[in-house]
Amino acid sequence: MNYGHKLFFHKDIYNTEDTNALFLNAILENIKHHTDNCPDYAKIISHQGFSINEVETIEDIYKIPPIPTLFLKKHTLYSAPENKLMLKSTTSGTGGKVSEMALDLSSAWRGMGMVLGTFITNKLVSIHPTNYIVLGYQPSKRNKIGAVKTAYATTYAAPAIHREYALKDTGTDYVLNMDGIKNALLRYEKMGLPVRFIGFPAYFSFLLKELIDSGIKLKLHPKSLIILAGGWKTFFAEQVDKPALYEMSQEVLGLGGDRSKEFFGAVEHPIPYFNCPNHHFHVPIYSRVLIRDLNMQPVGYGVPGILNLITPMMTSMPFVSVMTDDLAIMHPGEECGCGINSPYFEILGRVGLADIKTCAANAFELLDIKKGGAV
Amino acid sequence: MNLVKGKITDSKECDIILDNLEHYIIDTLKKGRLNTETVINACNKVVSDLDESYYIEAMAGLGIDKSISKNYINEMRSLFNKDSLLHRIKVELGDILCNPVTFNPPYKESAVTRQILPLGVLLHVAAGNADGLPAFSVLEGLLTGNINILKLPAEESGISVRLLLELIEAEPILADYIYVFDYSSKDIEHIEQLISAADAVVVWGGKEAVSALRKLIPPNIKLIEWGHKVSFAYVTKQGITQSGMEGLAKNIAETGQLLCSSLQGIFIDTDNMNDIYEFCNSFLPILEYAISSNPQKIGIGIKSQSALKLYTEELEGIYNNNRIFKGSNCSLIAYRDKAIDTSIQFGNAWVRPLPRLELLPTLRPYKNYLQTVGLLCSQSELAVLSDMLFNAGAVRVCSGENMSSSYCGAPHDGEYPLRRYTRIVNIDHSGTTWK
Repeated sequence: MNYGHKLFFHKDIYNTEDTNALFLNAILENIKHHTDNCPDYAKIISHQGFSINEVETIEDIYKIPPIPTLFLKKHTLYSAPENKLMLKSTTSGTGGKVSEMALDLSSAWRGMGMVLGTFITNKLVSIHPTNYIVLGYQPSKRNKIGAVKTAYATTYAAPAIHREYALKDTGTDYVLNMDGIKNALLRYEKMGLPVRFIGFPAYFSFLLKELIDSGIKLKLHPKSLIILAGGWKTFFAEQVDKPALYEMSQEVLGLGGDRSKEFFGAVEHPIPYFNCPNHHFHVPIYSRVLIRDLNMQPVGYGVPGILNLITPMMTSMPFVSVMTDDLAIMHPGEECGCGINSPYFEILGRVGLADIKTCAANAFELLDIKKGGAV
Repeated sequence: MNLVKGKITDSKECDIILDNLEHYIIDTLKKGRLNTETVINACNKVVSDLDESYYIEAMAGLGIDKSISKNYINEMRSLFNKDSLLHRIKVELGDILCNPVTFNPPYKESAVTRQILPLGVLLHVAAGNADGLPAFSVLEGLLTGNINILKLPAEESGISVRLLLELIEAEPILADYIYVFDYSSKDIEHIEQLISAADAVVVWGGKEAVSALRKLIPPNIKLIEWGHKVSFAYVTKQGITQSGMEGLAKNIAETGQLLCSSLQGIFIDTDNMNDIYEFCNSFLPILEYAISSNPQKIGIGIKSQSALKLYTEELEGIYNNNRIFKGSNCSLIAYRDKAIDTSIQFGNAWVRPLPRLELLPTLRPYKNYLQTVGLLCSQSELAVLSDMLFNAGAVRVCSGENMSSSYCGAPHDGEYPLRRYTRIVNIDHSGTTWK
């Protein structure tokens, strides 16, 4: 090691061009690590007829067999012994099937470098004391959901004076803490310090409606921020309502769309993709993004296909090349115009039409349960 | 869309109607019984004047491919014309509806009079899938003289209401027997009101729909379930013929494997994986040809989903030792186990070994989920094998080609629907008080 560490502490986080060589070395190092430490991963890539020698330049990374999230939800693969795993997370995702993710020390270290780089670049790090409204669960030992940890970690980007949680831990249960939030907000306004809201778009919208219903109208510190996170799916469902959401937020909190930062990621690929001012997800140096066709072959810019995310971040689990179940299109960075030169991708939606229900598929659900979930 | 007394109504009006539903029903019941002939004549008129292009377009809006919707319409024409309906009633009910039959039972001196009557009021809770239109359920309710309340599925695009309006136009008397409401399934309060008006609730759909309704239906209201089913093919060595395999491929290609009766996979009467691989090698080009002759108009979303699932199965090979035979726009996956599951669909089927002696223990766990078996075997094997398949829970055996086609008077999932929507009443003439 350690091309990986080097990559994740590199400062210029959108300079993919100059980090190609480093990225390639980190990827090769990462594949070797997983092949040596995760027998199933070694089996998968050899089953696909892949040999690490085939990857000679950055152009060759498409040859690394991608593993679908669909597969990872069924099989939990580790490349580190159980006692080295920390920060276990599961997806808060829909559909019942759960993805498990755990970081070892080395992955966590890289994650920290990445969070620092990303937060500094996106101007999320501040020395000003800040109050937080976390629109999610209060962290506890019982709660393993990844989003909780992300939200909590985010509260370290600026010195926290106070944190108020929408779902408060009573020790045995979680309760909706709307009154606590309202009181905290009134207090925060009087304190005159910046406030940061952290959560999912849907929760934020719910909070705004609650405040309107209670006749609360605030003028929060102009340096306040609304940080919204979510999976791609959430992004899709919510996208339409965004302008209305920020209009409402301007009205209720005095904070418009210019005070918001949105980022998205997936448990199987824990790289945060931030929205640029033109609302595009540019690829940071920590990952490379490919679009694949129906034969799993890579396609160029402008062609829709299946989104494939590649990163050498994880040493605990072999998430080198992950095939999502999202359809997307890649665009060259210059097309955006925001000044970031790395390519960006546009999510088109999930594969499959959720609303085509077929009786055969539904019958299978029944069978699946009878068989104890085994297929 | 809501339909009450032949008129489209808004949700506000509906709430008022719902509060008085019991009165409306009693008024209709007082008027006397619905004549089956009236319903048959209306159906006959509707299917002969059907505006085909409207229905094809409306079904396309529901994601049903034109080739499938055309089949539906043709099937509808042949199943709902006068001759077919008369035949169906005869087959399913035996007697004429509401026609008293008096006879002397063995060992009883006096006569009894038996009569088949409607259950009364049917609440049809329709499913949002591609298999059968909600209006057909209502039609069956009308044929058996019932008052019908249809709760539309969320994805309905107005086809059912249009079809029912056409029926009412053909025979205005039917207006009193047809109610359509589009309350959401989550609107428990209104759904409970609808249930309380019914004698029986007819449920189409998956386990969520059925179990949710089971909780709401009080014990004095009958629950008639039409659940989801799976179908497959069973092939013996002697049954592997060019035309037999073409039939299987045709069903896969034409239905997209979306129907309860669609082939999901193929069991071969063998224990030897080499036989499975050999079958896959000879069947794949036939399937490829059928798929290319019936191109499914499916979008990139569905295509990508199938491709991803297939690729995932490829990786699963490290655990289950499966073997994938990939064709253009289709595939066969040879598995070693003896399970039944839904295929990847859209031209992707599984192939598994299942020696005939293991049929019963293998299929038993799937009881009540099995529907059609496309059986490819020799004439001399037919009787034995079909009996084994029925014994194991299947309800229909046919050639691959006919798996998803029906005929007039065919039972549905092993039952006659019209029988389920009726009751048999009788008068015992013994005793003296009536003399």
